[in-house]
Amino acid sequence: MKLISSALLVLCLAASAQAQQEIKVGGIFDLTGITSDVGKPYAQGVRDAVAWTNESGGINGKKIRLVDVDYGYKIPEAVAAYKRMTGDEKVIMINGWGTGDTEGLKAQVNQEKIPYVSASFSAHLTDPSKTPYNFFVGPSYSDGLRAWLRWVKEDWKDKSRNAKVAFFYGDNAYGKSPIEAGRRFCKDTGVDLVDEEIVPGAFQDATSQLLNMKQKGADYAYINVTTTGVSTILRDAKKLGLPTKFGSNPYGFGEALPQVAKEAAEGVTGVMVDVPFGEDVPGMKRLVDFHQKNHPSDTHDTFYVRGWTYVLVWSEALKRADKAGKLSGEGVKTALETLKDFDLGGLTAPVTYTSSDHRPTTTVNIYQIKNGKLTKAKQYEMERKPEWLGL
Amino acid sequence: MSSPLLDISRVALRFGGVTAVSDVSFSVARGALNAIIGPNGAGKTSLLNCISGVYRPQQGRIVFDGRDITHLGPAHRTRLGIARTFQNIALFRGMTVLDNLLIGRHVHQKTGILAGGVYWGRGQKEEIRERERVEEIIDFLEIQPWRKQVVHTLAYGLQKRVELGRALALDPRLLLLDEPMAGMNAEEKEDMARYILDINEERGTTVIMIEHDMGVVMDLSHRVVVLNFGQKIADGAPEEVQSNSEVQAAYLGGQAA
Amino acid sequence: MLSGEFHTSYAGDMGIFETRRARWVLAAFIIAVFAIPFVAGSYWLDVANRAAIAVIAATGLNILTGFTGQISLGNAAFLAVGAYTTAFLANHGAPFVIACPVAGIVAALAGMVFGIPSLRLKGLYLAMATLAAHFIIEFTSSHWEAVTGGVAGTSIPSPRILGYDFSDDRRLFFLIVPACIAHLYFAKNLFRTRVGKAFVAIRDQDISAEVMGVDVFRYKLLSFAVSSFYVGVAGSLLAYQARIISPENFPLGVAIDHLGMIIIGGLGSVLGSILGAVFLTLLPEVLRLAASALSGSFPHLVQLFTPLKVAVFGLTIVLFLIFEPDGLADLWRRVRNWFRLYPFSY
Ligand SMILES: Nc1ncnc2c1ncn2[C@@H]1O[C@H](COP(=O)(O)OP(=O)(O)OP(=O)(O)O)[C@@H](O)[C@H]1O
Ligand SMILES: [Mg+2]
Repeated sequence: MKLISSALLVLCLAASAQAQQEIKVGGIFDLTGITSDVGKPYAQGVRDAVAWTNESGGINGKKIRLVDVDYGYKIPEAVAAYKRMTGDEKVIMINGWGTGDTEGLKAQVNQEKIPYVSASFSAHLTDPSKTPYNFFVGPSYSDGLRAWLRWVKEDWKDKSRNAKVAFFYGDNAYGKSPIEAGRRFCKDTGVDLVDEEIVPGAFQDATSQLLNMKQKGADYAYINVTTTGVSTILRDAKKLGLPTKFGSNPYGFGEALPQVAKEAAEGVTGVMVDVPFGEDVPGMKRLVDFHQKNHPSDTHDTFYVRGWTYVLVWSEALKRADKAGKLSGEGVKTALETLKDFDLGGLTAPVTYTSSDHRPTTTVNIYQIKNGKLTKAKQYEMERKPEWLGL
Repeated sequence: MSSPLLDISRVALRFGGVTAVSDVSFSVARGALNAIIGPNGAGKTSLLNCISGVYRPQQGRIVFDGRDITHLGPAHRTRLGIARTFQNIALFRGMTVLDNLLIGRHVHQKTGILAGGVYWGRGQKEEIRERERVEEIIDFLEIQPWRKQVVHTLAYGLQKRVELGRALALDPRLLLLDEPMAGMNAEEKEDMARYILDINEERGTTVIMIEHDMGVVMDLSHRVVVLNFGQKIADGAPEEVQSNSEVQAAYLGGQAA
Repeated sequence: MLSGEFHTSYAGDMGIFETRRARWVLAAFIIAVFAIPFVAGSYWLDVANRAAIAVIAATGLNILTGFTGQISLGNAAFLAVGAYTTAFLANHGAPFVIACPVAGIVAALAGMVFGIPSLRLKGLYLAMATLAAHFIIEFTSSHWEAVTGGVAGTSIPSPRILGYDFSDDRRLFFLIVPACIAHLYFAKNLFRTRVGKAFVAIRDQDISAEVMGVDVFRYKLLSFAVSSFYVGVAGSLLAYQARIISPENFPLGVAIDHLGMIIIGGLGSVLGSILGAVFLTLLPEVLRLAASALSGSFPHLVQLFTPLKVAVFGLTIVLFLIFEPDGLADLWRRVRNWFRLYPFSY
């Protein structure tokens, strides 16, 4: 009897020692849903960056264990996954994905003090007085759209009238996220919003929406869906011979776009949050090395880079929280809010969070596809206006 | 003589171009056991359907116990005391014998959905009382061994008996039987005849039955109405009708065709 | 000796369970169920709660489809009505004891409205009419943003009773499972009394039901109402359990899942609704476990999980339709009879 209980005790100690060495982080990814075109490379980026972090010393010697799940871009699945991760797995924080699920879970993560660093750049998640536990890495969708509208304003040479723009977006939280901000900014900058076209979650044809837009005479159009949808719209627009100049949001614009949409993508502009994979910036070396070492035959893109930047940001926060002896949800949140101009080696703009502003950056890069290549066209520093916080 | 229980005047029923019943009138005295006969397709079932409310005649009037019921739905007529069986058995196949009979008590019960769902107090008492009522009918028809059997597993003759039981459970004042003995062997027919007589004599229920077996009709019925091609061709005591030449012609003609 | 029990009164013979042993088995089962929150982790508690909610919803559908014979594809929609009613009420301060029954009542009213076509339509045509109900309610829930939060959905505070906060699945279990048992008890009673028997009569022979004095249209509507009440309550509990609901919680697939539950469990059987709902709730979880256990050796299996789930669901239904058309409930009945008469099973 005594033997058994002492054996049990040893086992328990061993298990807890094991647990102490390990920091559990949840991962909610879209590998099969309507955003899996960009969700898959992003997830691989996160997984690789976690592996790389663990190889390079972990979190002050402790290993990160990523507990991840494919939720197929379904809000209920994300909610169920969240429950599992916070319940049985007791993860300290979560690396999330979509806007709908992230915004849906915002009240719960706040109540349960689970930092939720999500791939959604929705500006609704930037006001800590409402969403203190939500974070992302990059300029918000709204700032992206504002910057693009600013580019439109500059690009439009006909001074006899304002440029006319149209918005294309999906009928979901991600699609709609920056639209209100965009509507207001059009008025402020002197660009005429003439049309809004809603597209379904997954679609193979956008002809009818494009014909509507043609009637409204839009000179420019911003597409707020992922790359597959963007290339469908570009291809159909090319087929119809529309003169409209298209722009894209940060999940619709990447290396794959010129490959899939071919000539239809030529001249298209887009908000780029992270540099293309392999870009000559100091921070790229570890990615390329890891790639060479582990899967040299894979191809990667800017969304893969994005996965890395996320891990680099939150693993730094984990380190700071651990040093402070506060390896808890609350501790990680506080640690994230100590990041100031945190440098990602040029992979994306430096990141700053404060306890009153979770806009990590307001720097927006606009790229343009020239000769099938993603080329940087312009950089904008958007104002950090208080009234834009959360919008 | 008191007023008739059922009075049918000038009833006509058409299905598109087919006239199933044309201009039929007759009446049924209280306590009678009458028969409707006629060759196949004569319109007997159609007439019964008009009485029970399954079909609405295009013309004519049906008065039950002094009340014009021509425009009432079947459920309403049942509540007034008209019950029936069907030529082709129309039992609730998936239910037990007991449950089929209990449906007969439906109109006499009050249990609503809430009282039933919580099965408490008055609702429970009523269910038990109705069960006792139904058990009497089960005893009367001698179907005790099959009480809890699902009806579609029973033999045809038994199903006919259960259907009679279900109609009886309504406590009807007028019972309409559409060929209650069709497809039965001699012994089963004899039993059925005895039940029908008992129902009429002991319970005092007025009965109208459609039957092809002339022997049974002649033995049991007080009066007989004869239909042919939707028209009434005779109406009287069995012996009178039997000797009616038009009737004989109809039957011979019917058989020849 | 257990090979027979004879009742000496009709009241005894009409008891809800056939034998004393059945009562013991049930009591033991209920005790076992209430042991779950003391042994299960939060993952399995979540599954258990979802299973209990599915049992209520499947029982509701079975009342309408299995017992009354009215095929419905509107279950996801009525679930949504219950869930959104709860979200609206709870966010306006209504407590659980009000929001949950009101959700049932609102769903019942919706059910009656969409049940009106059953006056004229049967079978597949009625199924199409209820499908229309589904799309109308789906459209409403994704566009009536003021109440439903649109495509982004809406969140629901955790339920409270007398100041006690049912904030996690372990606590919710003690709310959801008793609600489930109460609904099952009600359904079981319903079908041994007048109204329930009228439902079954309509399913078996609507013309003779009418001739037996059953007001067929009224009872069809009543069946729609009772059924949707159940589904509405299930929707309400779902809202409280999920805490966030969006139109994605109520796709047509949910209505089809519920139909699958009653087909696999057994049409026209309360026990069947339980077995089918539990079976189909556990199935994807078991597949998920299997997929993640194998993901070490087959990393791409995780991505195959979703299509795999659908394929297994379809295959299961087909196999049941072919080999066990009366469902798990009948299978259970045969096993039980075999044991009841043991050793004289033949
Ligand atoms: N629902 C219906 N639609 C169209 N025609 C019908 C319908 N019911 C009966 N008929 C027609 O009405 C006529 C009378 O039929 P009915 O069933 O009343 O005859 P019956 O005297 O009961 O015959 P049987 O002895 O064969 O039962 C027949 O020509 C039949 O084809
Ligand atoms: Mg006939």
